[in-house]
Amino acid sequence: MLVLAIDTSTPVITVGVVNLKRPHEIAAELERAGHITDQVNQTGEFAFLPQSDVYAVLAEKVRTDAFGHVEHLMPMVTDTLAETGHVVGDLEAVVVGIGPGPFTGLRVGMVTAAALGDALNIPVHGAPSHDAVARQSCWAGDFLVVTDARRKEVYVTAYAESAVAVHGPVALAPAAVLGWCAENGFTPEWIAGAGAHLAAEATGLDVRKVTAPLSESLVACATGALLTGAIPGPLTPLYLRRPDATEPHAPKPALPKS
Amino acid sequence: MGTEATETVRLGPGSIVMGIESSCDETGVGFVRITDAGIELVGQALASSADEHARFGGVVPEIASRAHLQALLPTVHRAFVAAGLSPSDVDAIAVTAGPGLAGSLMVGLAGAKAYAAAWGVPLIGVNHLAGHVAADTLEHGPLPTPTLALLVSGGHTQLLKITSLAGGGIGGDADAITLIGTTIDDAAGEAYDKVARLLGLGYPGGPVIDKLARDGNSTAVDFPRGLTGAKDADKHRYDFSFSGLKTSVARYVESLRRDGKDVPINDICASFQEAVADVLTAKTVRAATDLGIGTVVIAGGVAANGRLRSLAAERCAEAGLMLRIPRIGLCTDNGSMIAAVGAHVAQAGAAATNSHVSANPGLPVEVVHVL
Ligand SMILES: [Zn+2]
Repeated sequence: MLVLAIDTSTPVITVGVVNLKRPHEIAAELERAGHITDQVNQTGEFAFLPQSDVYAVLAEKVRTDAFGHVEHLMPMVTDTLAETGHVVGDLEAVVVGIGPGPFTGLRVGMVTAAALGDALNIPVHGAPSHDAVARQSCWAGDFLVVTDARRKEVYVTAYAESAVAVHGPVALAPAAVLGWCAENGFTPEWIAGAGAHLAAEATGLDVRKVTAPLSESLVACATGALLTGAIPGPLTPLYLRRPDATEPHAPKPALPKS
Repeated sequence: MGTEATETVRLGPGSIVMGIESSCDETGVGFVRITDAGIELVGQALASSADEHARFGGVVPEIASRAHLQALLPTVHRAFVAAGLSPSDVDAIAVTAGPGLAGSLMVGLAGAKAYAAAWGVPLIGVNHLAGHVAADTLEHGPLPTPTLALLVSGGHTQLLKITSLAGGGIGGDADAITLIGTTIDDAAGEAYDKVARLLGLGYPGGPVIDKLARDGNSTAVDFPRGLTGAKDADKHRYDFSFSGLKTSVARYVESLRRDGKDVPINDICASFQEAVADVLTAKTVRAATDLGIGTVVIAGGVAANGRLRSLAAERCAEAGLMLRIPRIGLCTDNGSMIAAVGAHVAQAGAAATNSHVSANPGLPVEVVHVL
């Protein structure tokens, strides 16, 4: 299944073309390689398989430009596809990061994914962007994924070792991150994510690099839905903040004070 | 497909152009067809977040952007149904590239890029302001050359000389649209909103003031006409100013309240509206006469105003000018007007807009079509 993965929740614009192998394709591959497929047939699951057997990242492009999402994203999609020898019409599904992240860039990715899915009549699944980052990790221990929320705050999600989100996401000042963890009885051992450096000092936690391609992790977040043909839910960004808007005050006096 | 390659778009009779508009608080999608006689509206759909902005007394950019994201796909679907078309009928996609609210523009632009790439049709990024003028061609046919356009909305008050709606594309006219005059402070629609607010009439101000003014005396209060004095007859001959008018209304209302007198809301609305319509129409007729232009188009949301329409009709008739105003549904922001500009551009032949294009919140009115 040819899947387009998009994330625009940070200044790093990510576009990947991932081949998600369907169960019968994996079974056939294993058979060809002379493996016994009883296990596959009995459980119908592939938990024992290394991730690389399930997902093949055919191409991935990343570009850092905090204000260039609308400019770069669609050309990146066509270029990434071209690199794999495919065209837009070959896509079978789209997975898009739904944030949290700065709103304007986030929306560019989400509306692009939604319109592509609509135009091509293929499913579009949303994945929390922090979940995708969490799945990139190969380290032990509970951890936090942190990204820049601007306005001197960070977006934080707490993950158990298995990359399962246990708390958050929330928008917090870096100095409030450990307090929030303590309130939730959560003890992180390290932090990751594009904004990890912003919380490193305040939390005293180790910043660790996660290395797997983000597009693979995005697709991994939606694998169940993709393989079962689940109908995607509505694509709603994780805004976490209300729009800035204040109700008007009484108009300023126009007459000079007498 | 290389993204750097410049694609040419040239469409003939029978072609369908889809238009996507998201520059402010309306998500609009419309379809037009190029015919031998001109450009006709096939069908359109609109979603508006106006109600969500009402309690804030003006458009809140983030609320508008969020609403565009939610509304775009459903509006596309409704527009297809209204037009009786399917995606395979679409020959090009026009989209508002500016001017407007950055975050809102980006939703429509990103969506349009994706639809265009998926359907393999050219993208045409166009100017929202040209769209307001082009809306009239959907109702009244091609514009004579040149035409004087008065563009009045919540964000703009401009006098434009229109030579062509096709822009400066292949064989196009580099002087397609020229700015003749503009507001030096508030837009006319903005003045309506501010006056409505100080009278406690809610938002938006245009329709409610128009309604109350019908029961008021327009000569009750002599509000000032901005930039109409002898000293402004030169430098600001075709420019507008509504900030002084708004302040004058505020002073008048405050002094009545201070003295414990009743505030005659209908009379104030009528007198305020008269001042706006007076100065808009006087300057439009003056510009048309000075420049020797025989046809006037009034476009934009404020063109829905009853008094502006009647006074413009009166004065244009007196001056021997042909007046065109689109029906109210085509005056406010919509997708068809964007499709109409795209159709004018594509009919003349032009380079398609590159998929690297960015939204331009301050796109100058002279730029009909962006590359
Ligand atoms: Zn407008």
